[in-house]
Amino acid sequence: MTRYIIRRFLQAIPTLLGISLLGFTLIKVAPGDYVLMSTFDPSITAEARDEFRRQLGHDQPIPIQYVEWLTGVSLRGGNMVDNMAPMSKSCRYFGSLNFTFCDRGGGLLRWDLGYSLATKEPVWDMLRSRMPATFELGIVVLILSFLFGVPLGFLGALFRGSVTDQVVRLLSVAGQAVPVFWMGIMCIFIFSVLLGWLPVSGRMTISLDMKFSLVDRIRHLILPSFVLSLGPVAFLTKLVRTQVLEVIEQDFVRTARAKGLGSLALWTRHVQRNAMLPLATVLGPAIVGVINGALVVETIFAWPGMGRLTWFSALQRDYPMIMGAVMFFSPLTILSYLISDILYAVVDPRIRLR
Amino acid sequence: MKRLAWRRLLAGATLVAFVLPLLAACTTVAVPTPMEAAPAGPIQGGTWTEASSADGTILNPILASDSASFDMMPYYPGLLGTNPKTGAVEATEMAESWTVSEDSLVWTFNLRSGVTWSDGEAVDAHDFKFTYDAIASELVETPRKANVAGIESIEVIDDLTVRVTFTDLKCDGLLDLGLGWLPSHLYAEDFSDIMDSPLNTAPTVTAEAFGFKEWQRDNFIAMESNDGFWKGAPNMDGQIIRVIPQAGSRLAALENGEIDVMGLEPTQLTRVGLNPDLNIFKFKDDGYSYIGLNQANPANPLPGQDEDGNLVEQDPHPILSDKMVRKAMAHSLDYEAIINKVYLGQGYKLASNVLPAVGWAHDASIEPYAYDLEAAAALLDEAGWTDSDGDGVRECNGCATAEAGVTLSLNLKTNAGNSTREELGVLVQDQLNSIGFDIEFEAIEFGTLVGELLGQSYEMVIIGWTGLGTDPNDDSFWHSRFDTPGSGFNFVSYQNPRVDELLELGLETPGCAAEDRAPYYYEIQQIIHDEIPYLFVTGSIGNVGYSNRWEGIDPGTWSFSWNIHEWALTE
Repeated sequence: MTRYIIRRFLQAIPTLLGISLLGFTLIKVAPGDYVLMSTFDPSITAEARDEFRRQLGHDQPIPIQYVEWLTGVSLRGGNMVDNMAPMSKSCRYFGSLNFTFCDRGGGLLRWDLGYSLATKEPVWDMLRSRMPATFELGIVVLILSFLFGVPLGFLGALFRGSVTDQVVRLLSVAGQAVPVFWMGIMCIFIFSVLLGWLPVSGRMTISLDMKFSLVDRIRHLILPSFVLSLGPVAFLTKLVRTQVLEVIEQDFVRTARAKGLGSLALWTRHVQRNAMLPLATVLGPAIVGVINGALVVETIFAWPGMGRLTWFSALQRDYPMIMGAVMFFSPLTILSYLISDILYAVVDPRIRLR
Repeated sequence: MKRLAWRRLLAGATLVAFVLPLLAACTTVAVPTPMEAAPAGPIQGGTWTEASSADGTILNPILASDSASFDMMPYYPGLLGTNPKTGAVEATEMAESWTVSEDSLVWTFNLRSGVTWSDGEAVDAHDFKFTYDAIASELVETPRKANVAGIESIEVIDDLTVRVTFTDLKCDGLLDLGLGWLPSHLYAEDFSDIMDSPLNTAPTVTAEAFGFKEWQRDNFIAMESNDGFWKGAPNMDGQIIRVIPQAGSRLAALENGEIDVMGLEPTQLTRVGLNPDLNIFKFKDDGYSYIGLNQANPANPLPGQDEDGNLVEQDPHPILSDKMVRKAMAHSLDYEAIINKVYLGQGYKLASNVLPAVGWAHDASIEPYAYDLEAAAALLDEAGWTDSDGDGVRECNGCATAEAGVTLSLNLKTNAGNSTREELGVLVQDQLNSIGFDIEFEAIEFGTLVGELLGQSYEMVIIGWTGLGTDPNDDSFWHSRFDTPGSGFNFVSYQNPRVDELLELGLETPGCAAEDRAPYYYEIQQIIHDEIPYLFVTGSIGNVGYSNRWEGIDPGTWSFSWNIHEWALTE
């Protein structure tokens, strides 16, 4: 198992490098760029825009920009020491090869995601400052999803064909079919504007003299986590219901029943355990799904998380920031799937990881 | 809102028209009556809360380029004031008076004494010079370099006197001096710490009504009142700007009392209007919406001028380079229906490029194109675009600009997510197709649209200008010098040597007097109206919804919150 995990980690390195290259290229070849977006203002002249682009190094070919982002090393044709020196730690001109080499510092290979173009802040600091909000919402949503999704699924299967089952099935279809943004706005309208029970948006009540209040935090968390967990709850309900129905059709269940096993023991010892196996495999994708889904919910409820940061950075073409998000979410995704695989092996002894 | 004032100073054309009589006479501007301190009565305390759709990026006036950031940094003093109602330049900020040389190139500003940063340091000429020298520095990566391009030198005569020398006469040159001043005493003299200064995210001093308190990214920014503000200590405790991206959520927050003010979309007017706790401030915004018609071949964008400044002949667009076609388009849009149905009445008809807000330069005698489908059809027939095969789409049968048989097919784009423009696009498509066009309409992501627009690889685009300000100069839209694929704003490849000349004359009029400049702009408007590089859809009307629990709010077109230090809670 340890060897398996180590191997998976090693495999992740080239995968991540590939993702970074692909991500960088895709962002760069997409139409519109940061300089255009940030200077879409008739009072800024073409000369000023070109100068800005040169200072940022965005006038260089994509491979050179990629190397610069990856290593923090700039390469320019000709003697550019005077041009480049103010922005770099050290610059040297190699006359025989006629190119200038500058060490700008940073670069992914030196564990540095660089600086955001828009805010000039370190990308890592920006990501880190949004993590608590996203993880808070994400963890609550995951807990809610399993807390409601699993029992509902069992309930549906247990009373297959009954009114309870119909209601559960209806809810699970509705939960997946209703768009999150519509649900979000309806919830705000009903619970905040009409009834005035819950705050419209944000993560806390904002005032000049703010103090931490758990009740206040929970009140703000209710609507976004409810809306965001609808989809996962519906998905899990359906999955568990199908799984349970499949398991109770199996021979060993019939045998157990024939041997006179009580229904409680049958359910807890045989059906539940076997029906839960696939849950381990969906945990990884569920984590990723919750993070992705958070984007819309974070926007509607003005939740200051990473989804919104990534989205706005993409709109602004803030390349280092977008790449920072890519390089954060990609390992997280890989890790989530790895955890899924390991969990699967833990809950099902028949599986051996090699 | 404050943003408006900033945006105008930054993006558009402002100021000069109203200073012009002073310029010519080379006089000293009289000191205005100083603002009186707030009477003893107003209730003290309370927090004014705004909502912004986006978070700011950086709290440094020379590095920021987005209006959300400028909204969030009311800490930096400026040289010149803008009258909130008229847009006229006023000596209500740091410049108390000024003199101008005969040739209008040398401006000497006398600064207000006794204004200090909140740490006790004086705000003086060195701060002004430092700020502009920083923009020019190679160490500072900023798109604002254009602000210093026309400045030959800035000299500090003494602490309270500064002299700015411009390289060439430019009647809207004062605009370049509109940026907020940095506290020079907190930075390294050689500008080496500007890019990564902690002050960029947490300014420690202020010379305006509010000082920075706390900024939680994508969440809110809190500011405390500056009791040492030279115009008078604010009555309120401070202000907060909350970031709420979704318009519906902002409206809910306004109705709920969680915020005090927001810019309204036309669809939100009724609900706010019916709410007894809310007011609406309506004003003619200094912008317009239009459909840009690319007159050059999108497959082969060429610059408007060569390196020596000679006009470069464009590869013409096979359809849109035909003036008759453009005129037919102008006649086939039902502007009244568009303004009423798409803009829900929040707009007005427009004949050409100078807005009525710039009264002295606006030619009101030009009539907007009338909605007249028969005239439009006749124009297309006359131009040789007829439907010979009866499929409802016209083809070139003897037209001047395309090969025979080419169909009257065009692509129209706008930015996705702007529901007004998306609705307009569908309506325009419908109306043009009804007289034999074949319009393909698509809404694409804004960044992609900007790329195609400046790259001049589009055919027709629905977009708009905001923050044009009170100066009529808009040479960046029409002058062939700004037809530079990839970066220039004359992305319709409009080329007219007479308009080039008039735009230059308007900017270089000796003395810059309004009455001397106006004739040039009148002629430009007539030509632009006749040649139709844009289909002018509507002038913009802005609406701000705000809570009535505050008194003293006296909004102007150019600034909503110019007297925010005088506002007080009603109870």
